[in-house]
Amino acid sequence: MLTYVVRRIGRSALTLLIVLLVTFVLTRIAYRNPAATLAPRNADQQVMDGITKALRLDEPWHLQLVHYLLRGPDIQGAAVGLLHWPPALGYSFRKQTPVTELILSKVPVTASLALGAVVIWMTFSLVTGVLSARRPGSVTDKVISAVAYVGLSLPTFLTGILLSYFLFFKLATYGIRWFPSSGYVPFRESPFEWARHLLLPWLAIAIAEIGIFQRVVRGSMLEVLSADYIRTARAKGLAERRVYFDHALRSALNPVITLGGLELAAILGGAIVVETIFGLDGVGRLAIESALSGDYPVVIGTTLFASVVFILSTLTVDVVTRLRDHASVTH
Amino acid sequence: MSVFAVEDLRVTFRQRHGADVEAVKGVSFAVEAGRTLAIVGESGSGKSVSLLAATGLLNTAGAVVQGRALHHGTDLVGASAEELRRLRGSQIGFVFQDPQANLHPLKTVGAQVAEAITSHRREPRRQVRARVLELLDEVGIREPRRRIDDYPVQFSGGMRQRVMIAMALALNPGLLIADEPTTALDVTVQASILDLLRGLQRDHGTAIIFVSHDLAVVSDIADDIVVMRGGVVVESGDADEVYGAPAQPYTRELLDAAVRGPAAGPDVEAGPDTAGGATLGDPLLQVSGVGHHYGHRRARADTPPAVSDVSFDLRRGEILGLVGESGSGKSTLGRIVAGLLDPSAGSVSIDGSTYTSTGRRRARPRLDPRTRGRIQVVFQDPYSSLNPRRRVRDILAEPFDLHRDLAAQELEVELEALVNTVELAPSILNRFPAHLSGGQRQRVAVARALALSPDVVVADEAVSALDITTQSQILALIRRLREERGISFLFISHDLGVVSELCDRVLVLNGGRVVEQGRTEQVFSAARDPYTRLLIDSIPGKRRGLVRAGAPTGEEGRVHV
Repeated sequence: MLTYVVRRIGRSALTLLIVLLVTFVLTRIAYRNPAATLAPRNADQQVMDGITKALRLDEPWHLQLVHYLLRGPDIQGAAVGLLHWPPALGYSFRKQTPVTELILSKVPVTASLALGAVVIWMTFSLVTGVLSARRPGSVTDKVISAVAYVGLSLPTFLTGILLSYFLFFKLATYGIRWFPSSGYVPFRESPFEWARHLLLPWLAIAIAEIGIFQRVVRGSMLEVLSADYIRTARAKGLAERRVYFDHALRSALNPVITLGGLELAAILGGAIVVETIFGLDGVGRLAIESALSGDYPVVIGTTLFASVVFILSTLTVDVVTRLRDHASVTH
Repeated sequence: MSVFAVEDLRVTFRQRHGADVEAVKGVSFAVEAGRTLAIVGESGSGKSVSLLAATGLLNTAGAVVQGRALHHGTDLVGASAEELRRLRGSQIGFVFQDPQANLHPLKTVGAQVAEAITSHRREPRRQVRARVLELLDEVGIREPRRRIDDYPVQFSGGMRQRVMIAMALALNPGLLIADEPTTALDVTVQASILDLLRGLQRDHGTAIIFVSHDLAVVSDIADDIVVMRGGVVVESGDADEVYGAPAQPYTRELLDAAVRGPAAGPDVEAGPDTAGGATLGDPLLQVSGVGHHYGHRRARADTPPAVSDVSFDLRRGEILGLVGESGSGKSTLGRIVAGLLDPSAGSVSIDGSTYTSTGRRRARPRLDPRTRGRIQVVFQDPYSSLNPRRRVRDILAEPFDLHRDLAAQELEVELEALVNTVELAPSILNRFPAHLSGGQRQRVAVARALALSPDVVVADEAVSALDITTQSQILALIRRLREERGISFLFISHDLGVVSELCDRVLVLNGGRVVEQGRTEQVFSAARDPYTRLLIDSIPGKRRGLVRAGAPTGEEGRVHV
């Protein structure tokens, strides 16, 4: 198992390097004259030259990449260089902050958003998926599937807007202010306010995800329920609740874990739409803002961050499934 | 009062399209405490369905159950789900056919046996665990303390079935329903499981309902017999009567199919004259010094080789039996002969030209198309060896598409001739495997193997998954193909009974080595190796005279060596 993890991490490093190479080249193509984009509006030639020198923009791109990887120039006292500890992702001229610091400051928001949403959507999907699979084709199944399908079909920006219209705006007109439509309160300040502020964004994400996961759970459960060992469980006189939630769900969980890891990673890497709608200052917003304004060190930084999250999440998923299968496949 | 009695039970499956299917049409039987009732019949006879229906385990939508199923006088047919649940496990224990499929793969055996107790009783953990250990010990699992937290995959087939039995007996139920409990197991394991059930019955006075397709298997354990066919009881009565003087021709047929031992039929004698014109005794396939070791080089030091130093010849038109238990290396050897696996040592050649290589190993060896056409395989389970999404026509046409260039009309002629050879109607070509019976599927699998007129067919447990009557039909088909076409068969089986009935020569494999080989009657009547003798002794049905004497009759005319 350990050698497996080590080998996987080695391969992940290679993946990261490729991602970096591609984004580096792309940003060089997309932003023709970075110095001009990055400089303040009425900067003179001297400032521009300063930026060009600081970022080594006058050198060929592959040398710039080398600078980016190895310890490059110090910009405003912030180190640049991915391959030293702690890894430094460069400096944002726009925000006058080192990129690493910038991203890390946004992580709590995005992480709160993703983790809360995953709890909600997994709970709902598991329960409704099992309920649907109990009697496929029954009224319960049809209703659940139809509702889930609607949730899946609606684009997130629409569910987000609908949620904030009805649960924030409409309620507020009656003087009920249960759900704020935007803002973020750190968990450490007030857990209650934290959850209250995040509830609508959580729902916006969860509604779409339930549509996917309810179907996955249902299909996987249906397959498992026809297995002989389910009949054995019933032959033992096991209560139906345990047959479904312990025996059947245990085996049906593999595809759910795999897909769950991918979806969670996608949100952790930045839930652009939801963060924008609900005014959450997370990684997704940082990514989209920097991309639009041409703050390319941040673009590279957020891209790398998203890749790292993906790699870690798939690694975790693979280790978990391997540990589970370890029981049933190998000795 | 009977422990369990079924009276005029009817099970109908309502179909969304088409007419309802009546699977069980008014069946009655009863079992008394301390006695064993054997229900015998082919698959589709309704024997399992009636028991599952009576205990509320029939998990099919649209199944309608009528009649009465009395457990100590209480009718179970109208009982609520909760009442039935309370009875199952505590009063009625179940053991099913395939212990691999019937144990939860992601739960330890200890947890699964414990559940049988905790479903019905609240008991402290420590007490449950102690009881589980006791049960595992009782069903003959060695070192239960060490095995209790292992997963099913870490157990052999026989040990898994013992776990199933421990689960069924956890609360000492008065009735044990065993549905084909030994069918997926090796013959020696089968004998030990039957012993175990007999012993447990003696100790606890349990009533047993034992379902099987094989009259020989139940012959040692049954007190009463019920023979079922097509959803009705054909014959029932005391075991001595049924075995001694069966009243119905169908029972007679089942009994004949259950008889094991070297066949001394004229069909074998006719062999040399009709074996495709070739003289029997002409070596066709030569296996010399073949060995195989699975796994990486590093792991090999710890594990014994799957096959080591096996040599034999297969002659033209000969049926050679390869017998051994699971793990004996017989399937590995079969795969090597079929060119599906490269050996680690030795070589296999057909007509003097070697087609295996031991050099740089690829995941799958590539035979040249001509040799591939000459050596074909029939696998064990026709339910999984045929692609369920393809019609029989497409399955059978594939070999022709790959190896010969035929016009549509010529192909049609070939396909019809092919299904004709395996005694199927041409209409079967348009059907999917799911619409076929087990026997029909295996005939399709044989037909697929025959498509390119092979010289050698490797039949890997080709009849092991089939009903006993279907088995004898497929065996007859193999015999006929040998006679008409001179095809040589390498017949791999764990069932010495079947092998002795069909094969000219037998090779007994144990731990990857050949421990005994020779003419079938010779091996059967005078086995030198103790392992071979154990295999022969484990053939069920001795008590009822269902095993033919090994002494050859009329063997003088036979040519094979």
